[in-house]
Amino acid sequence: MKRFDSEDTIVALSTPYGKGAIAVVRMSGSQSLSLVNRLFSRQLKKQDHRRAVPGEIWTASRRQMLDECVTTFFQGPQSYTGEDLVEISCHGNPVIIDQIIQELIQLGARVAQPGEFTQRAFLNHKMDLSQAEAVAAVIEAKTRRGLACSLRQLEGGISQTIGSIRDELIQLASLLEINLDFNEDDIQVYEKKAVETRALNLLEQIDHLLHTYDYGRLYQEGVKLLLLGKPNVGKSSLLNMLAQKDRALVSDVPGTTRDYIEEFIQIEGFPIQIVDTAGIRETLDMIEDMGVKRALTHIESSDLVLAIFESHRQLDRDDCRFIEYLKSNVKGKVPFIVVLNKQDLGRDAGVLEHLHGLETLLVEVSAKTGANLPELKDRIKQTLLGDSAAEQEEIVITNARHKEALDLSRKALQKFVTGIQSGVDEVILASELRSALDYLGEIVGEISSEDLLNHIFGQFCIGK
Amino acid sequence: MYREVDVSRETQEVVLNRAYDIVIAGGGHAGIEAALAAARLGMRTALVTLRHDTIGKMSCNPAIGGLAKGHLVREIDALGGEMAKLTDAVGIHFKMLNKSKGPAVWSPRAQADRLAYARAAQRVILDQNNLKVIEASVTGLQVINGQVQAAVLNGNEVLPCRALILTCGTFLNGKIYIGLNTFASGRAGELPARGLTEALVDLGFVAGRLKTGTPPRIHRDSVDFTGLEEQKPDNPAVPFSFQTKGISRSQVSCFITYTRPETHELLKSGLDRSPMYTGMIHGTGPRYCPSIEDKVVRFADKERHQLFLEPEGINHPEIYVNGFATSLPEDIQLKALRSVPGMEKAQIIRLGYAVEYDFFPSYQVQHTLETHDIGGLYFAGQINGTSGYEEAAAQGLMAGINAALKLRQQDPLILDRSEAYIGVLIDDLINKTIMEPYRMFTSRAEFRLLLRHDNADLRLMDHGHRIGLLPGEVLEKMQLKQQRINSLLEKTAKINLSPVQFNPLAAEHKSTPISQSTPLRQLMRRPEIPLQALLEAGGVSNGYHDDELVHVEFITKYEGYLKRQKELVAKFKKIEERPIPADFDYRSVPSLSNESREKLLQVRPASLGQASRISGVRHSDITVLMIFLEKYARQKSDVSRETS
Ligand SMILES: Cc1cc2nc3c(=O)[nH]c(=O)nc-3n(C[C@H](O)[C@H](O)[C@H](O)COP(=O)(O)OP(=O)(O)OC[C@H]3O[C@@H](n4cnc5c(N)ncnc54)[C@H](O)[C@@H]3O)c2cc1C
Ligand SMILES: Nc1nc2c(ncn2[C@@H]2O[C@H](COP(=O)(O)OP(=O)(O)OP(=O)(O)O)[C@@H](O)[C@H]2O)c(=O)[nH]1
Ligand SMILES: [Mg+2]
Repeated sequence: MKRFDSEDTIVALSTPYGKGAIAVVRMSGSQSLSLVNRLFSRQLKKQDHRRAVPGEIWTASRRQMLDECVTTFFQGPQSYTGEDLVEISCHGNPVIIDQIIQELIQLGARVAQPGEFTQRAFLNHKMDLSQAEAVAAVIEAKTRRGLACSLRQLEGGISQTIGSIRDELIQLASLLEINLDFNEDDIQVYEKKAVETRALNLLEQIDHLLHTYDYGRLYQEGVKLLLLGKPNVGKSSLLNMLAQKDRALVSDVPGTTRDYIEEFIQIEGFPIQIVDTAGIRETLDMIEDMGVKRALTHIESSDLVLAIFESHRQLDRDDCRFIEYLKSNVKGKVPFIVVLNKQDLGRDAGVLEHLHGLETLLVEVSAKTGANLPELKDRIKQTLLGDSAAEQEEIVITNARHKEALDLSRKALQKFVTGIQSGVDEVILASELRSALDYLGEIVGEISSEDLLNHIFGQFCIGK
Repeated sequence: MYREVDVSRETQEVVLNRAYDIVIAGGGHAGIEAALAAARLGMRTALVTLRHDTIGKMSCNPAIGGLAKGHLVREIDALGGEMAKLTDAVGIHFKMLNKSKGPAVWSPRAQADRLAYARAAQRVILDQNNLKVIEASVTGLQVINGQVQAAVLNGNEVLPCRALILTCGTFLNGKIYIGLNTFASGRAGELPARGLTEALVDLGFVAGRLKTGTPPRIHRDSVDFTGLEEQKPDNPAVPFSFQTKGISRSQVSCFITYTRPETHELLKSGLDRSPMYTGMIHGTGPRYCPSIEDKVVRFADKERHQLFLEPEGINHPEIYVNGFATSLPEDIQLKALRSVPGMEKAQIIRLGYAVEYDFFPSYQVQHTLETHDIGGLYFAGQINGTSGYEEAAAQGLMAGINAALKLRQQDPLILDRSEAYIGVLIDDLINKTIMEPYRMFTSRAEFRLLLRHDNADLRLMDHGHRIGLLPGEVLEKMQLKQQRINSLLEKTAKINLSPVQFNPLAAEHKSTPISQSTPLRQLMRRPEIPLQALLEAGGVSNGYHDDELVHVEFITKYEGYLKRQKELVAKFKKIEERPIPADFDYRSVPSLSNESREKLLQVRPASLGQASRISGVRHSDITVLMIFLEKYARQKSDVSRETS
């Protein structure tokens, strides 16, 4: 049975596995201090709260020194999780890390479930729901950019932005509610047109936020990029060039790559999973074998396709079949870029003719010299972002729960606007605004009926 | 002290020696409903009140109903309470408010003849079987093993009972303020009730202090109505009670006037002698019902404030100056009033004042209005921190019903938020931290579209009849209405209108004409065309009652919205039905914030849904609670599996 008891002391590596020179092993729970003292060369005390103490980590048997390290004790509740917590900063050698964790487990700690530190922090009121989700995202964010987004969210950026939208909604809603609850005379106390304009304004703000999700999600979850092309056109070379290392075997023998090769790289802050495939002949066979549909699902599971051709050679039948396939089956479903590789060897006169209709998607590069590679990267970024290139300082929606709540809120607000235009009953209008508010409340976790009355009492002269 | 009068003319001894099932302390609007409900449900009931001749007295504005409050009155009526009937009998100015807005917020309001209202209430009380009135002050109670045994009257007499309902209004240690003058009083001209607060605090209850105020009353003959805007009552008047056939009393108008900048200056000149502004009053007043000095200070840029001059009766000369609540000194009240058009020669009959009183923060009661800690002890009305006759009456009715049901060993009557404003009221009282006197607003009801005043009968009469307060023939009338509504709905679903039938109507109401025969149902969705006209055009025999037409029109026009509200209700019920076991120990949940834990321990919510509405309990705490309730449930099921 899965253990999930908050009484346990849990331990885990809290920095990315296999990355970085320094790794941090984190342990949380009432046993943390006594357990670390069984391994550490010095005896930490409660008074050492927040002090970085250098020393060595030994096995519990004290037969073998495992590593030199710095150990910091945080006394609960003044720690990340709100419990007693220890951080051991050691060298980023996976073998050593494993050994340290194993020793701690021998002594009685257990391995933390994914996200369990965060969960404890949340349960101990060290963070609110949207912060907790942001932390969960930090754990997953694989790149600088994703990290930056998550950090801003942690600092309450999301709550702030949504808070200000919510404030405006409350103001609008109170205008209607006042009319319903406090105005006994049948005169309208607000300007319909003004309210409509303000609502439209809000819609725009929400739309903008929602739009950021399209790429916010990409930052968060990463992008799958598929390299497709005939054998020997230079797919593996391009992969190596983009990844800046010799990841895939390159040779002039067609059919070198027999299987899929994946590599994680970063382009303009996007975490990208590049998938290098075997040559197109097999792919087209595959299309024939498994039927166009299944091939398409395969392509559809990627966010971007690089369709690669040789620039200096005349395109043959396979190339043409591939082009047809792109035009009829991929276009409009998955974005793709047509890459003419080996540009250093010159350009065949007929190539462009065959690519008629795809000119705007064309980039000429050389995987050998690296020529035009920046342009390709740029094109990749543009294609992914569409016209919504993210600005550096912006709040980006990266969380599906937030997106859904915003979506619903938007829908309600839209109905409000249509309703006000077509003269729908005010009670209905008010209830649309109320649902719009409630959905936003789901993100920041607040209740609105009381807020509304408070606002009314504070701002308006009501009551006979 | 007080005379003890047995108004039913039995000897005092007989009255006091007799054991009652239910004793009610207080003959205000809460007390009346509680006493009548209890007696009508067969309980031997005693209504103990300070003075029998103030039973049913309207302390403030003699108006019943109004926005959201009108809904409460209709609901009280549907359950078998008295307030609506009393109002219909003595109303002198009926008006349906919010008529230009959606039917969900239409609210009936009526001004009553103040003296006639009290007399009518006294008559009903005196005529009621099983009900005795005792003129005395309840000063304490006897409790054994956490169970009420008796009320203590005037400090020494013991009145045994099985349940005690406290409806003391503004009387507990009441203190009136007029300028810098202050004196002990529960209401103008009446003494406060002493001793009871202290007795309850000794038993462990927490008391707080609130404040409210009232405007001066002026003599009708001193007002010059010429030039003032007249507000006529509705004609015909729509009665409050589903059982009233029509309103027979003659109706009067109200008049509207406005303060002037000069008025504001005069008011401000008295602030240094204002009990509010000099800090003499500690109790919190209602923000939605500010005094005129408050309005002038807080909304300094408003050039004028509207005042309503409302007659307090047909045969007595008092005029209630609605909008002019004040506790400023006498000289200022008079000068300021006289600066208002129409009132240049105003004569004050009674001064405006503020009253401060004890209340018991209502987290101390459960949904039945029985206190958590003492069995058989109920709080209802202003003692729970509410304000308003209707709020008081609604609670009184529910307390009376539930005290009786408990003694009859039947299930309690608890209305939920999706079914009645009364449900919203009581649920809010229990879960919200009451910082100021609580008044009902339609915006407090999340299912506002479903809770209209005109469908209170459809919503609640089954309950009223089941518990035994509503006569069978009234229920049958409601059932008939329901049938007629259903049949009208069926008809409108079947009938089609041809262009010939419809297009003249379309032209008349600026609607788009049709080119082919169209279902009536569909045409009913057009907001611009009244249902009545459509029915006539479709040849559907009319003769439907207004309520029925409103209902049918509403549910057809807003079908989609209503469906969504119903879905929300279902969602609400789902979390509402996740019970929190009575023995659940919040102290065993280390991760709850201290504030939330305290609140949860205080309120002791019955369900997760209720917990989520307690003010001060954070969203994340509910998530935490969910986790721990799940854990608790698993442990329980493990244990039961092991033991079985
Ligand atoms: C000055 C003033 C201003 C108000 N202003 C407003 C307003 O602006 N808006 C609004 O909505 N409402 C207002 N109200 C409130 C409204 O009048 C009350 O909310 C409503 O009457 C409360 O009903 P109740 O039954 O709880 O108590 P009440 O109507 O106050 O009745 C209490 C009854 O209990 C009796 N009693 C009290 N203590 C004892 C005891 N120990 N033993 C025996 N009998 C006892 C009293 O004699 C009285 O009959 C105001 C009230 C006052 C006094
Ligand atoms: N001149 C030149 N040669 C290139 C370029 N890109 C790739 N090549 C060469 O083309 C040959 C094939 O390259 P690969 O990268 O193995 O091609 P591939 O598409 O992965 O081939 P398969 O895995 O066999 O399908 C190698 O000899 C590369 O050195 C380029 O831009 N310019
Ligand atoms: Mg290859």
